[in-house]
Amino acid sequence: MRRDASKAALLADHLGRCGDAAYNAAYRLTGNDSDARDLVQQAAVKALSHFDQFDRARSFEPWFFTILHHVFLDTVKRYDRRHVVSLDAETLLEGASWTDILPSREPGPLEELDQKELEETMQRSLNRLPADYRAAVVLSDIEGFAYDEIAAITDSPVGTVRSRIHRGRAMLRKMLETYQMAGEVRPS
Amino acid sequence: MTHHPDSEVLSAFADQELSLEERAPVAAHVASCPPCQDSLAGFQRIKSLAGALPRKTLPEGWSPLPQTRPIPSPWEWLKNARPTVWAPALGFALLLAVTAGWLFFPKHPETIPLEALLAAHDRYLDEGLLPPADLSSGSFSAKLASYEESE
Repeated sequence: MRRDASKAALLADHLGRCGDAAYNAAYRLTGNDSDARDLVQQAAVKALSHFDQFDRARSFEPWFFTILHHVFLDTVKRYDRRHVVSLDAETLLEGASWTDILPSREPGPLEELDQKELEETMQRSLNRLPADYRAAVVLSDIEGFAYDEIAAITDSPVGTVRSRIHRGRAMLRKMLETYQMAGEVRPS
Repeated sequence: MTHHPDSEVLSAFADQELSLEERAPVAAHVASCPPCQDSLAGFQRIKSLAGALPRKTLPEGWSPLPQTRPIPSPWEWLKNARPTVWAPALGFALLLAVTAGWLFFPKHPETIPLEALLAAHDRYLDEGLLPPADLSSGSFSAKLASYEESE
């Protein structure tokens, strides 16, 4: 009992340092506060029960993000039922050249949006990404992990990580343009 | 490098995730190729838009871990408990103990106050309240007599 208490105290100490980053990633993965809390809480409970497997010579954050990622994928079907289905996401790139999909260097209307609108639009686009791509983009572009760290977290080869990030970004770009064209995003 | 690099390579180039051998020819090509510069800028733009999203922090006062506390030893509990906690608990425990004792301990004949019973019996006999055929001349009187003899 006392050993469990000391494990919990140690884990709480680690989470005190990387809890915000985990919650931020969970929020961007799920798109809302309630699901983000569920995700972080489930990951914390799982981390507690597997704490003996944590190698204390290594950094805690990637280990916890690995658990978070597993929990996310375990529950992704449940999340996707509640969010917009992204069945057509894979086809977004078909038939489009990169010059069509990717923007010019000049700042476009997206940069002119106010922060709240931009956040909502980005989050909505993230929610529509397939779970693997979403995780890769969140871990890379939002949490700033290197490719080899993401490969370890997601238990995938580095080449797969590189491909997922690339395709995720391209889809994001396409979706952001679609929102703009549909008038859902109004430049301020 | 004369051909355009794969867009996946450009995406990794934007992240500085190419090896030195891969990086040099891509950098040389991009420097002189406006379409690839546009592609690269597009990846960098998405990356910066995602990175500029406001950071969410754990809600105030919320902990991802279930709140668990070690169970204190009885002595620690008593030491730290306030009288408002332990006094009612102690009273309740005493009440339980008394009730349990009253309910479950057998009442042996030795515990019956025989002197009081005898005194009452004598008084009832004196006052003529007992039916003579039933008690005063029955087995009960005989038993009492034998008891008095043994005393």
